[in-house]
Amino acid sequence: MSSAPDVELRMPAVAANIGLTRLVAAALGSQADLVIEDIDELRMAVDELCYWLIGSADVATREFLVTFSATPGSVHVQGCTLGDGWQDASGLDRDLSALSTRILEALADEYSCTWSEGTRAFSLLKLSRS
Amino acid sequence: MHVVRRDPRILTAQAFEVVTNRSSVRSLESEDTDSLLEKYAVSRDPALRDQILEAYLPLSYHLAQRFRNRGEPIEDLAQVAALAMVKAIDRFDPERGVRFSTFAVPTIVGELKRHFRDRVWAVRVPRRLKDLRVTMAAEIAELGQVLGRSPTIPEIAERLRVSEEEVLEVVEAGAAFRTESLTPVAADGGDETSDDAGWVAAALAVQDRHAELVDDHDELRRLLDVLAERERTIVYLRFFQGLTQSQIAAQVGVSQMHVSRLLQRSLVRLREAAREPGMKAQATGTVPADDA
Repeated sequence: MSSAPDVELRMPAVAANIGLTRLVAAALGSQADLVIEDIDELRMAVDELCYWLIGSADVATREFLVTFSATPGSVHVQGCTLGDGWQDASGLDRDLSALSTRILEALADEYSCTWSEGTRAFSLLKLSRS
Repeated sequence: MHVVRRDPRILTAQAFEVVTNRSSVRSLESEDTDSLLEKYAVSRDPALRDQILEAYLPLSYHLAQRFRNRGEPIEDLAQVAALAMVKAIDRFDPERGVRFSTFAVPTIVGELKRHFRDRVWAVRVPRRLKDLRVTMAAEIAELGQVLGRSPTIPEIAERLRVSEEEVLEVVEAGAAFRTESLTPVAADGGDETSDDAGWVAAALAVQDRHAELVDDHDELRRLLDVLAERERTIVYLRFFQGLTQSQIAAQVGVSQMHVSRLLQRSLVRLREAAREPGMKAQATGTVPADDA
C-alpha cells in the first residue's frame, strides 16, 4: 500500500461520535497491514485519547477534529478541539489520569497530549508489530 | 482418559476433544471420586481438587454443549462450565448425603445461564454478525497457529469468505456487549465472579506480582477494585505486565477476541468508575502531559 491521503473527521463533541473514530482507525489499520490485535489496540488507544479530548459530557455545540494517516505498517492519529467552545474547560481533565497513562503506554508506540487555554490536542502513532 | 493441559483448571481445545470421549463419562461417581471428594472436603488439598476436576470435566463439557449454537464459542462455554465445576467442588459437603453430580449440575447450568444473561448485547447487533463473531474467534486462533502471529483483516476475511468490511463490523460490534456484568460485588457480599477469577489468578501465579505492582500505584489499585477479579487479572496482565492479548488468551484458555472484549469492557467500566463521586480523586493520580 502506498501512503494514503489523510482522512479527517470533524464532529460535534458527543461521546457517541467516538465510535466513528474507532471505525476509521480500524479500517485504516487494515489498509496499513496491521494485524487484528494491533488494530484492536489502536482502537482502544484512540478511544482513550478521544475521551480525554472531549470529556464525558455531551456538548454538541463544541466540535473536535480527528485526522488519520496510514502508511504501510503504521497509523498516525491526531486529534484536536475546534472553535471557541472550549474556553470553559470545566469538567475536562487537564492531564491524563495515571491509569490512562498506563494504558496508553501499553497500547501506543508513541503518543502525546497537549493542553493550553481553549485548545486540547493529542497525537498517536501505532506501528505494526509483525 | 488423558487430558492434555497446562493446568488442570485451564481447559484447552485439545482437552475439550478428549473429554468428549463418552467412555470417560462412565468413571463419574465412582467410589474413587466419592473418596476423593471426602478427602478434599477435609484437606482442601489442591492436588486432590485437580484430580476430582479431571474426573468431572466430561460432565461440565456435556453441560456446556447444551448451550452451543447460541452465539458463544464452545471453548468459552466450556471454560465457564469448568470454572463452575471448580466452584461446585469447593462448596460440596459430602456429609449432606447428596450425590456430587446432583449438587454440581444446577451450579454449572446456573453459571452458563448467567454467562448468557451477562452477555446480552447493549445495542442491536445483526444475527449474522453475532454468528460471524463466533466463527471468527475460532478462525483467528487457527490462523494464529498457522501464521505464527496474529492475522490481518484481509487474511481473516479470505479465510471466512466474507468482506473486510464485515470483519471490521464484527471487531467494532465486540464492544457492544453491555458492561454491567463487570460489577463484582453481590448484594449478600458473596462474589461468585471473583471466585472464578480467584483461581484464574492463582493458576497464572500472578497474584503476588500484582500485589507488588500495585504497591507503587495505590490510587490505581483502588480504582481497579471496581473490576471483577477476572477482568482485573486480564487488565494487569495486559497493562502492567505487558503480555499481548494472544499470550493472555493462551494462558487463560479463552479466545483472543474474548480477551479483547474483556479489556474493552474493563476500560469502559474503569472510565465510568473514575467519574463516580469519591473516585475522581483516586483516578486522577495525574501525570503531567509533557511527561506523558
